[in-house]
Amino acid sequence: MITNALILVALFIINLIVFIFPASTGFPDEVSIAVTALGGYAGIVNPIFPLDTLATILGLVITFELVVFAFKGLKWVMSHIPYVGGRG
Amino acid sequence: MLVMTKKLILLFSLTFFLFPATSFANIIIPDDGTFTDLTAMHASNPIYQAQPLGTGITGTLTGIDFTVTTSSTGSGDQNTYVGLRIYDNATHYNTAVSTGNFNANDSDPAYNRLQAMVSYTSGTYPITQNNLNYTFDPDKWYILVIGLSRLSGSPSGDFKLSSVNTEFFDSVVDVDYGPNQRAGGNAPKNISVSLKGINTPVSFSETEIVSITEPVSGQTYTTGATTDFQFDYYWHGEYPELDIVGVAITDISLGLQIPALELNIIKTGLSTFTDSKIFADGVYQWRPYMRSTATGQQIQGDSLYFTVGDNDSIINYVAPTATSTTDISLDCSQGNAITNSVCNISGYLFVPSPTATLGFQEVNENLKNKFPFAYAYDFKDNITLLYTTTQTGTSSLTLPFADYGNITLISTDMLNALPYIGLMRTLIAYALWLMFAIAMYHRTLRIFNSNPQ
Repeated sequence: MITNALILVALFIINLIVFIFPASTGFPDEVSIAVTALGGYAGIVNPIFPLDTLATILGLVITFELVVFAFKGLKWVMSHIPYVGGRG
Repeated sequence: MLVMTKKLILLFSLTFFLFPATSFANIIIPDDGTFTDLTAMHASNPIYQAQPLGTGITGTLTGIDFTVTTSSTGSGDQNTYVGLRIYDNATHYNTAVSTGNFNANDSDPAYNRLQAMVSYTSGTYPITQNNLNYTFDPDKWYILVIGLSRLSGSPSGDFKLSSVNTEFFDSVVDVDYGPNQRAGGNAPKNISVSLKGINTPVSFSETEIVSITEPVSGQTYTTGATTDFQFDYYWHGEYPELDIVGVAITDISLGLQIPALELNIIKTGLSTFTDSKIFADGVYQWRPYMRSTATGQQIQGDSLYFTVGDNDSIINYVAPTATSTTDISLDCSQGNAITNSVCNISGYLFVPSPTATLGFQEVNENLKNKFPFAYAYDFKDNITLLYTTTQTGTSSLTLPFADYGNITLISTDMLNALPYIGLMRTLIAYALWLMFAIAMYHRTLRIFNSNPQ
């Protein structure tokens, strides 16, 4: 009951924030079609040059940079909290 | 506000990369019955049949036999081959189908096909292959092709699919050479082929629910509209006690089971289940099933989701990573009355309900339809799609020549014949990983040696 209440309150607040943002359907379908076609062409080369490995590495690099960026963002937020961020 | 929005996008993007995507797969069962058809196969129509077998085939193909009967409209050439080949392909999005992976012990193992040499003189040519011991990979797509090989004076031709449209269901095939394009090509010849008695003893271990038509995951119905359920199921007699086919429905907004829609199974070949119902607004999970009233045995298909209500206010569920809606329960029966009571009270106070936990999925689905998060979700989906299509692509590059027909520059056969290409690929992959490790090392050092702010 207690956990339930906490979750529901948190969900209510999150949904309220999400509600503020306007509706969107994202990229047009043509983008996915183009990516599928691109993947097909890349697939021809993949048995010779490991493009799938390259894609995996690219994903790891992006993830790493996102973690660094998120860390910096968190530090920035904390620095603006009175007393916590060293400002009184 | 703009800065915060950017940070939120990045945080959610990070989340997507850490959680793998899932997808549902439908299953198409091959026509394994006996049939006879008389189809003229010639230069412009050398493919008799390109039939999708689909994914999820988990049995073993132990033998194939079929008969080719020919009648002549031309003359001369004795090197016409008619045969059968099964292609595998990890995804039906691929447009090039050339990955022959059919390890039949046939007369021409280099091309992995079952074939018989036929002539334009009328005759019957049986093709039988037992002990194939070919195991299907349930994660791959398969397509069955029966067609002519080219006339080149030697059995070096192949059934040729130059393109297959993006949905194998339609199996639109273009063939770029045929019998009339052989060396010193004569006038086009026709050959009529009667295929009899294809028998593929393939067993399917999980489900006989095939090709779900509607409602697919994410489909939304407006309030008061009829929700139509339609899917194909296949009867091959492996489970003779099954007698009911139906749809199990759960209102996951309220956690309620809706009375199932059920019909008697039609015990012959491929049939279509069709029924409909009007629902109140909400989010629903549904799955098709076949069951036995006598034994209780049940075979079920994938779980899918649909919504009823206003498009803007109802959450679309699309292939969630977890479909279980079972209650989170505690086993409070192990101790004595007091400890069990404490356990029950603790569970009541602290264990969240499934409805509450499903709310997080709702948030996730809500965000998919909101600016600017929708772009982040799409970006992640497209990266995943690019990775999948690249990884599962087939190596086939063919150039057309006016005098010599199509010449294959890169093919799976070529790659198999040149093993050092695989070694070269492995070495390149190692080199890429090494470069990545070095780059990460220097990047990490730079972070710690500088002010991250």
